[in-house]
Amino acid sequence: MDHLATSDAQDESTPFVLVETGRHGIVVAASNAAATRLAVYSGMSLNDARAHVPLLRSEPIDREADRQALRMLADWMLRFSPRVAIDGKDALVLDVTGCAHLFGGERQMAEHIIDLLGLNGLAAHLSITGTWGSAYACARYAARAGEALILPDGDESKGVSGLPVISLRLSADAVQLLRRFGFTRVGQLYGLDRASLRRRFVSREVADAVVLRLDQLLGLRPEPLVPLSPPPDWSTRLACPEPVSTVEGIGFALQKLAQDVCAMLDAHSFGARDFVLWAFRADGGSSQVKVSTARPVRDVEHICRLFADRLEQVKAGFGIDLFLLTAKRAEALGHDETPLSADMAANYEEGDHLYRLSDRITARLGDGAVEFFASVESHVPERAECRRVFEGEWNSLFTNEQVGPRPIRRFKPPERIEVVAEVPDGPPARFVWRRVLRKAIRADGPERVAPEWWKLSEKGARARDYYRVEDEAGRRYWIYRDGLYDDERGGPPQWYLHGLFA
Amino acid sequence: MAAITGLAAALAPHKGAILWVGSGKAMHEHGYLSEVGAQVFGKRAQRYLAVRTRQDKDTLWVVDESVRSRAVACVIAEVESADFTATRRLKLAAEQSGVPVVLLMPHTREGASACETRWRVSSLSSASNPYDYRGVGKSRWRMKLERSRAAPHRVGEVFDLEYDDETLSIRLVSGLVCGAIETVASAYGPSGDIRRTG
Repeated sequence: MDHLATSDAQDESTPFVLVETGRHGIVVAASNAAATRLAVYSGMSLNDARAHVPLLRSEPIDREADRQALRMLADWMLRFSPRVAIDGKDALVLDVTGCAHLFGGERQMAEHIIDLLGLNGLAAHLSITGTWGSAYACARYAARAGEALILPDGDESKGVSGLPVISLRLSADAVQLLRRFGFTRVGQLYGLDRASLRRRFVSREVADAVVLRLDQLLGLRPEPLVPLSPPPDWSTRLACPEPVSTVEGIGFALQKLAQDVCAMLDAHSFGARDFVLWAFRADGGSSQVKVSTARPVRDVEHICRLFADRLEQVKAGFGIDLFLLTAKRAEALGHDETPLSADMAANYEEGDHLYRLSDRITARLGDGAVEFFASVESHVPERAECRRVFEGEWNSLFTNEQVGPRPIRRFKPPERIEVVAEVPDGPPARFVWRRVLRKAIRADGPERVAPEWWKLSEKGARARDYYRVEDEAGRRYWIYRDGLYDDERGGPPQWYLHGLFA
Repeated sequence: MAAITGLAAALAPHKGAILWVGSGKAMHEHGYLSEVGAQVFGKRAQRYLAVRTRQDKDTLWVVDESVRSRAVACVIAEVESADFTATRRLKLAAEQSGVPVVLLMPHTREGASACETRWRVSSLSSASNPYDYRGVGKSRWRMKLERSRAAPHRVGEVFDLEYDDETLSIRLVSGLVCGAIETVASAYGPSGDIRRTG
């Protein structure tokens, strides 16, 4: 599938080119049909082109905008196949295996694509063939704009035999060499002995490239397509007879799709954790909304509720004509067992409600909004307790043994304070925190926390002495001195406030 | 802030999940909640979930959503301010579901609120430590009742509380004649609104 990205919809009868700055001055980057007829091709210098066609109009090409437009178009192409890849600067490749029947066959599918692109002012060069290589050659060197070229299975070699060798996706050097040997058409290479073909080239790489490309074109060697996004595990589609533009309409479509996808998941005893709603507009745009869940689900009501707040984010534009709901991160999910007793039911329901609540909060506030506290095997206070994303349960592998007193509020990072204390190891007597002088009335400690020297990140860390300090107003602080006076690890120790006790 | 954090943790139900909601800004300002520290005020069956929001609007939404879901045992939220409509909405939700809500607000905030009770909390010098006279003892707080629906005649009274971390109980410190334990317990009620100081 090929799409010539001439950014301006110009009158087809006047020769027009897009130009960019090349190594030797300004060169033509793309030319329209009228210019091509007058033998102006991309790659030639603008001066040469002007010599051919004095009335040639030109504009600088905007590669970045083209790239983005192509990317947008690639997203939109997901309506035809889940496996879409970008090929070079101006083409898209779709793996339509198993997709054509949705449109009534390959011919109808190709015409449908050309029609939809045509409505948006894009003249597509399109071909459907058995291999990527042959599709590349046919779309670029055989297909006419607006007409689909379809090669039946097994006809690749026949279909491309008359095309120029440049359609083999080779480097300029290789093409030059092939021409020098007298090979101008792809078909001329078919009957040759591979070994003798190899020997003709000086460089081994070039020879290998020619043979590889030829094999890929003929389907003798596989050429996997790397899609832009991994294809979903499960997906359902809903084509609308009339374009939908209201939130209610989108909600209704979602409900229908969710039912379908959940029925599919249910039949295979699966649940999924990511759901993406794609909305394809007739004008060539698409938008997607994604929700994630903490556990695999296949509950229509829950899925719809997660999407409910975010349906406004779907850009309806002039109307949506196709919806797609995909489910990813699928995991096995057994069928619900009914709890035996009311007591068990209460426990079961609580856990169930909790992860649903966490899903809804995450859908609104973003990923990782709900966290739980996990214990980590460490005695450095800020490392011993860390916050992890809540995924339906408190799965902490390690339980810290009770250590000294720990504050209920901890500062991240600890705040520097100015302290007056007895040297070398007295507790703070007076200190300034947040520009207020506080006088310590009572204090206990120290609790010594040695650095974890076996960790690289702890390099240069010093032992800490933690004190619990109370001031006149009854506020209780957790203060530490970073280092000892005689540890010979840098200058005099600094004081920090690490937390507050209740 | 730490005083009220401890009090809220001590008053929260000792079983089930406690949802703690606050904006990232507030957490940076007042310090992040620590479960290890909070567990002094409860048993191990008490587990915390922390939700970090961007603004008060989101915080109130999370409170509302979680109260209605009945999935949590208690919701504690830190907000800069909440108007009458918002608190009324939360109170109705809390009454319907029976999940207590505690809103922690800055001590400077005044104005109408639909809450059940409103307290102003500050820390007090701790009890004397029997093992070390210079050391810090059991936590004490001072609570002033500013508003109460159930007992309007007691508004303005001041209670000094002490937390006993061995028996996990709160008791009134001597010097108070009014046996107001039942009033204190009303913070368990459908909707409590506790103000903090400091």
